[in-house]
Formats: sequence, C-alpha cells, structure tokens
Amino acid sequence: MNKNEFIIRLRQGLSSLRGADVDKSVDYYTEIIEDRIEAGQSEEEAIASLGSIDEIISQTLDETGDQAPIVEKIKNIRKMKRWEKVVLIAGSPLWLVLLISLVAVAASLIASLWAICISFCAIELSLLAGSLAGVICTFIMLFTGRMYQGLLLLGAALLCLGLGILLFKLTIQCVKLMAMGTVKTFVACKHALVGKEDTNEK
Amino acid sequence: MDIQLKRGLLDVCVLKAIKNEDSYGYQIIKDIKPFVEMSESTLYPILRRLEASELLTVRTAEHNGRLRKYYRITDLGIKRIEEFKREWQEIISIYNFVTKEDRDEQE
Repeated sequence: MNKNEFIIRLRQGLSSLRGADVDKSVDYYTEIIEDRIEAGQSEEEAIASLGSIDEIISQTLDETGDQAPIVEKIKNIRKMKRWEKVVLIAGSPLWLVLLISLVAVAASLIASLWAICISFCAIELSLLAGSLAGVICTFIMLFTGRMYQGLLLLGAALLCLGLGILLFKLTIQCVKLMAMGTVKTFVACKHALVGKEDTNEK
Repeated sequence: MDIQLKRGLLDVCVLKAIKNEDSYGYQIIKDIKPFVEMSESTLYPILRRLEASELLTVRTAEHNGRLRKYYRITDLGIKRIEEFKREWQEIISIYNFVTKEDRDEQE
C-alpha cells in the first residue's frame, strides 16, 4: 500500500467523523509517514510500520468518539429534526386538517358527555331542592289550616326526595366516571406525545 | 494494564518528551521508545487530548518543503508532570499495601 492508498482508506474509514477531525487525522499520519521516509524507510515500509489500518481507524473512531460524544449526539438530533421539519411542513395541509378535526371531535365528545353529566346533577339538585321546599311549605300549610293541600304537597315532596335518593348514587357515579375518563384521556395524550419525543431522540 | 491508569501514564510520558524542547510526532515516539512502546495510533489521541486540555500547544512549521506539527508544553503541562511525581508517592504506598501479604508470606 502506498501513501495515497493509505490516505484514501483512512478517509473512508473515518467518514463518520467531522470533516475537520478527518483532516487532522490524515495530516498527522501523512506527517509520520513522511518523517519515516526521511529517516530512511521506504514508503511501503513506513506505512507497514504504522500497523494495521483497520486498527488505526477503529482506534481513532473510539478516541474521537470518546472526546465528543455529546456533540455528535446533538448533531444527530439536529439532523433528525431538520429532516422531520421538511416532512412536517410538506405534509401540513394534510395532517394539520386531520389533526384539528380529530381534536375537535374528541373535544365535542367529551363536552357532550359532560353535558349529560351536568344535566344529571341539575336534575338531582332540583329534586332535592324541590323536596326540601315541599316539606317546608307543607308545614306552613298545615299550620295555616290547609290540611288537604298540605298533604298533597307532602306527597309530592316525598316523591321528589325518593327520586332524588334513587338518582343520587347514579349522579355521583356519573360524575366520577366522567372525571376519571377525562383525566385518563389527557394522560393518554401526554404519553403519546412523550413517546413521540423519545423516538425523536433516538 | 488498567486503561485509565495507562492513559494517564502515557499522557505524562508525552509531556515529558516535549518538556525540554518542542517536538513532533515521529520524534516523540522515538524518544519514548526505549522506555515505553507506543504506536503512532496510540500517540495521536493522546496529543489531541493534551491539546484539548491545554497541556500543550500545537504550531505548524515548514520542514523540508512540507508542513510538520510541533508540540510545545504549556505551564499547565509542566504542572501536570510535577503533579504526577507527587501522585506517584501515593501509588507506591498503595502498591506496598496491596502487596503486603505477598511479602509477609515470603518472609
């Protein structure tokens, strides 16, 4: 192997490094080869005495990798992101519309489920309030001598109370379910996003 | 030998080789050779490491119509050698401790 072949193979082997690092390494070995030739060795001898080129390459890669692992990693991330940006921008008319409508559908679904939940709460509240008011009015009527109307009102109030008690558990259950469902949805969204970030870093 | 330990030792060897006068790659290897066998591919990362930690500086000078890199030790580099000499006392006492039983058995 002559000097030029050696340099070409070295450059090929180190191609994953930064250009400046490759140049420095090539300069270094060129200088050593020339010094050896100056000291009286032939070109072939000088190169042979450097040892196996594969070893030189792997050693240089190891050591340079040791020195700048973070820089290299950041570079990789940047490369990925640039590439991603192009795809993201190019595909935005498609995915942006889809994403917005998907979010809108999900949001309206959650909102309508909450509306059902809130109306259950309203029914429950009005039943309890109605029964309370009914009982109070019954007492007023009994004391003011309107016995029959009072009893009728008491019956209505008790009916409200009964319905209210029956619906109470259902309402609580409904609110709990919705609250849990909403939290879970948000957590799932967050995990999905974080998961995406992880794959970006790799 | 433990890779970290050997690394540190070779760093000091290279610093010593350029301590009295500026030197270049091939000359450094020749100067160290009687004491430690060091290949060119071992020296290269050491020089880069020492340059990065400012223990030596590099200048390029013309030699016989081509360029050659000369390495000069810095004050920090000289300090490192002095540090090494002090550290070595510590290493000797560690060695004495580690080999204590062996010597006891021999006696």
